[in-house]
Amino acid sequence: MIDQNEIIKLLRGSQTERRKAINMLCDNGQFIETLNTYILKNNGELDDAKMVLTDTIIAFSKQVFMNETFELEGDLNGYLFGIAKFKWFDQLRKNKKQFTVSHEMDYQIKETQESQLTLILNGERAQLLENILNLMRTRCKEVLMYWSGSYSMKEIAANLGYLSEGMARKKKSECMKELLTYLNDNPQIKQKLKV
Amino acid sequence: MNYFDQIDDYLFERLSESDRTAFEKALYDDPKLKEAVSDANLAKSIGEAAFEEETRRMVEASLGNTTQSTPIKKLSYNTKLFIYLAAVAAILIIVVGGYMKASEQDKVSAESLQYANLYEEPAWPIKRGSDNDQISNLVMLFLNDYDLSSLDSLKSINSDMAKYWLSEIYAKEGIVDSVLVYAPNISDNKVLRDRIYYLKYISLIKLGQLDKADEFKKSLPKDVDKYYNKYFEN
Repeated sequence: MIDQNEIIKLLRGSQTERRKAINMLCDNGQFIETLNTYILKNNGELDDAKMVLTDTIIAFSKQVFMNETFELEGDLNGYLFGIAKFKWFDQLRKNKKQFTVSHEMDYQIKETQESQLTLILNGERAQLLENILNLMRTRCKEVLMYWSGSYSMKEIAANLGYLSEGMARKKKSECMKELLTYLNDNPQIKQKLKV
Repeated sequence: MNYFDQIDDYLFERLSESDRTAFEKALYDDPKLKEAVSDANLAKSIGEAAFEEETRRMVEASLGNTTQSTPIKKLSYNTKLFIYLAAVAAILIIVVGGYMKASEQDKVSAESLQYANLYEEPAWPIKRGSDNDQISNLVMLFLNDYDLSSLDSLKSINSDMAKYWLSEIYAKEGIVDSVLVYAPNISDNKVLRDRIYYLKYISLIKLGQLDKADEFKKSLPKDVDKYYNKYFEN
């Protein structure tokens, strides 16, 4: 039986803890079986189910990581299934497929949550963002990642092993400076990313 | 009021309602502040993208493959046969290779065990005031402090006694190829001569050169101290 409170706690922790949570989500056989059945019944194949599973786990992890106050109301598998359905509808819309969607096991997610579920590394901006991430140092990516999740400098220092929150603040300033220098030197990229 | 210090709090909705209203007014009036907030928002997006990238790697590693893989195509009979034969060959290589490696390891560990059983420490030189004082000091320096420079010093002394003690040290450490290099041929001191025979013999055993050890044993003079017979008969 999957411990959803444990998963949420781990997802807001260090890299090792997040990896543990991801492994638990990927081993969630009950959810994976439900998802596979749903995708196969709704114009999809097993490869599609795998893609939806990956995007669902990323979206859920991101939601937990980026929202300090995130609380799960109800069952984790039901919540994950809501995200998965949203992802699959979105995919079908993009493919402009004619589809009739089965309403079995119809978990709904709140409309307000939908915007949070859209992944940044999708669509036209994805390649630009990936190029920037490739240029960044690993440590800077990690600091910016935690900062964008509204972690305090004390939490960033604890998760990344800095001796003090002052060191974490200094690192964040350095990384922001490097990033903005690059973007200001490449105004066309900056402009495209801001749109 | 320095609104630039409040950018993070504004971005992550940590300002009170009144502070937020004041900040947004400043934002409207100050293009530099507006640009800084826009930059911070962009950096936030890049931070989120970094999280997505890292999480995707973790998910793909956990699921054991990539999600962008091409669909599995039906394989022809020949391809299936080739994969089957390749798999059988791979298994055979692993099994036979593993067996050979295990046998090799058994052999090495058996020789090491045999060496451990055969090796006996000498009477180390601990008395001062003899002609060998310098050599004794260097030997004791190594034994007490594991001072490797003492070995270099022993090597620099041009005498059979220095070489002999060097080979005793190497024998104790199990570095038997060095024993064979440094052990001198001494003929005027029967006790030392026989001890050196013994050191060379057990070194050959440890190196797994059993034929050479056997030949070496046969080449020994008949007057070797009977004390060593128990080793040579092993």
